[in-house]
Amino acid sequence: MAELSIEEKVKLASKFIEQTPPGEINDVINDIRTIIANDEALMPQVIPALRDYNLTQLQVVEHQASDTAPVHSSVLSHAAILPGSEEGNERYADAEGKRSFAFDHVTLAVSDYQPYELPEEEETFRAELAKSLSAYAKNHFPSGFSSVSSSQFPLLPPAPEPPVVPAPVADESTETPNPTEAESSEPIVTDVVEEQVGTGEVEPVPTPAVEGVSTKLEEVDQEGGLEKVDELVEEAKEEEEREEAGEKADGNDTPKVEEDTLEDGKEVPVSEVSKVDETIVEAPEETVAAPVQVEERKQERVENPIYTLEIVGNRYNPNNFWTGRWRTQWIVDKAAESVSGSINVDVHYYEQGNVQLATQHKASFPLPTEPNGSQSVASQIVTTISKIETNYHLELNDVYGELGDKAFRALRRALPVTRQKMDWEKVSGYSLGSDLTKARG
Amino acid sequence: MAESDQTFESLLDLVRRLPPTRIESNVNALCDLAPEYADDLLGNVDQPLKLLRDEEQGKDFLGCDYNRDGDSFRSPWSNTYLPESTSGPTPSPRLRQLETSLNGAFDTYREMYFEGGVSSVYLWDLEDEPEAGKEMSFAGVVLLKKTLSPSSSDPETAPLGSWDSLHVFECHERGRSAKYKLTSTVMLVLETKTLAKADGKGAEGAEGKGNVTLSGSMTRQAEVDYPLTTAAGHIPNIGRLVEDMEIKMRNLLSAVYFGKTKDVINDLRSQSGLETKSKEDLLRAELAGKLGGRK
Repeated sequence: MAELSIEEKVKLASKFIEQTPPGEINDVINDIRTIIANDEALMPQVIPALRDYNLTQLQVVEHQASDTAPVHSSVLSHAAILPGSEEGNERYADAEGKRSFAFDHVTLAVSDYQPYELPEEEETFRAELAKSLSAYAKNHFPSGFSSVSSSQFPLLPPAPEPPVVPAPVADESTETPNPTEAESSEPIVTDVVEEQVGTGEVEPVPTPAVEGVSTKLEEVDQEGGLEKVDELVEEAKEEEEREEAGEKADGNDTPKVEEDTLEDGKEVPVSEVSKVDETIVEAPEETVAAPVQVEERKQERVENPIYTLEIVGNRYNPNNFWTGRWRTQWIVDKAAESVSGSINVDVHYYEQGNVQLATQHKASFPLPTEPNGSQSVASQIVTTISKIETNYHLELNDVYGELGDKAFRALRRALPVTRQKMDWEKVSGYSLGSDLTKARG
Repeated sequence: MAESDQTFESLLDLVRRLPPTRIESNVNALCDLAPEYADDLLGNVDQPLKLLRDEEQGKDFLGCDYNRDGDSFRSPWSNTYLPESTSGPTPSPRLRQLETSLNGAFDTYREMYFEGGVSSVYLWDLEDEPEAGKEMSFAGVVLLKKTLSPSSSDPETAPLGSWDSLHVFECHERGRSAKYKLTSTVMLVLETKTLAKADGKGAEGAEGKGNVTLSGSMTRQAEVDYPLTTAAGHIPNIGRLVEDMEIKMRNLLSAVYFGKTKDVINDLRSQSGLETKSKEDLLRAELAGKLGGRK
């Protein structure tokens, strides 16, 4: 058999990369490098395989603090590819840091940060989902990372004239409440998500974005909602005193009024949006101004952007010869009115052996369409996700019972029916040729 | 040479890391990548046993690298290479007699522990000129394979699985005893489906479906000295050695497959949620509660 060319060898070796167990990519790459012994030929050619691996396995990327976000991380995935970014020069969204970046799939180095900003409507919903998901991830994944991506095109870079004022405000509001939310969350799944309720109540009703008026109104709503959160967090302490004095929400300043209107807005179906318009008249002017500017821009848009929620939980313990990864990807598709997802768990145990658990699970549920009581749509989505994943987790534990008790026993008994080990003298006596038996004496 | 050894180590390291379910295609690919190591690799990496048929004897047998000659495998029942007859090696007459007896004994063992499946035992001489009456040195392999076929009544949800064990041993007779060195590998695959039914658990309208695969192999070694008075004494000696090892390995597999990997899952994800009870967290919870209450 003729030996393969170096190109063929590199191609063949690249196929090992996608099979790499959690946390062992460097080991596999180094093995391949030793076997191929030609880095110049190998390294450029394995990049596509490494890219696929990083995107599929939800590589975690650490980000330094930005103007709007503290040190944080994002999850690399196909969903995080910046819409409109070119093949070969692919960029990824760091939604939390409001930046996009280039990524070197070999060195895992991040570079070339640029501003990234979603339209208000998408960012509001995305941020709500992100906040709920982060709380869920923090509560259930000891070393978990989560990200939510929107397939919507980011806003064009700001025009030279007035910068989009409310955007940074919205940015901070998505960041600041985060630690508060997550750390205050309670161990019970439902509770965790219910806590989101106070902040993420405004659900952009599934109205096509083309309906200019209602879109604008939604944005106003969300603007206010986010700003409210932001301000409330800041004002919370001083207001505690006032509340002690017996004051209730009615006697408060502008943001409070806005809150009340939003509370109403929650219940308002699409057909009654105009009514919201009236109640919201008193909303602070500065928040109204920005979305209008956005509307005026020539902006590439997708009609029904999807939102992808991703969690990756990794545990690597090479000293004890095991690694593991739990991946979760859920896609919120408003057009299809459904949320569909996949859960993958991979475990590798390799002390004097090579044992791997690989699970794939797909699930879906109908998209909640309106707030349920005080629970926002985003919060409902994550609540259902957490319930499905917990059910799946429980089922996995049952599967172990089934496989261990039934399948394993059906393959090989622990002991024969007699409950005794074989009597080899007797067996050889039965089945042996007479010569050997006699000779045994 | 050091470099070459490193290549071989890397080949074996990859085999230890890549999914056991794809071992056959991966080993083929590695042989193509490093043809000069192909023979060493095939001799060092255990692959699932081949299920073969000896039509003449009307019996199934197992194939592995130890009874292979080109594309043919020697049948323990007829002592001939199948499907194409070749002039591949066969044991000396004395060893062939022991081989025949061991095949009979392990056929009984297979029935008692596996209640099905297939077994084969192959022996080969370690001396150039084995003679009758002389102390023997030989090696052999005991193969056992059982596959769970999909149940006809419940093909959707019934678990699938397979057990392949290879017990490779060397034996050196020493006066009234014999020394046995054993290396055992068990390849175990278990597969089942998941439904994640959410009925009545707060996720109404949710549907799900998936599968779970536990696969892999583990290898252990043992060395013993057993008394030996006659040639037939090898049968209970090898029998006990293999039986004890399989019992040990079955426990080990059970601990790793159903204990260890399950523990890792529960390390990855906390089912009930992590506790956050520091004072600071409580304060924040209070704050969040107030924020929620003031809407």
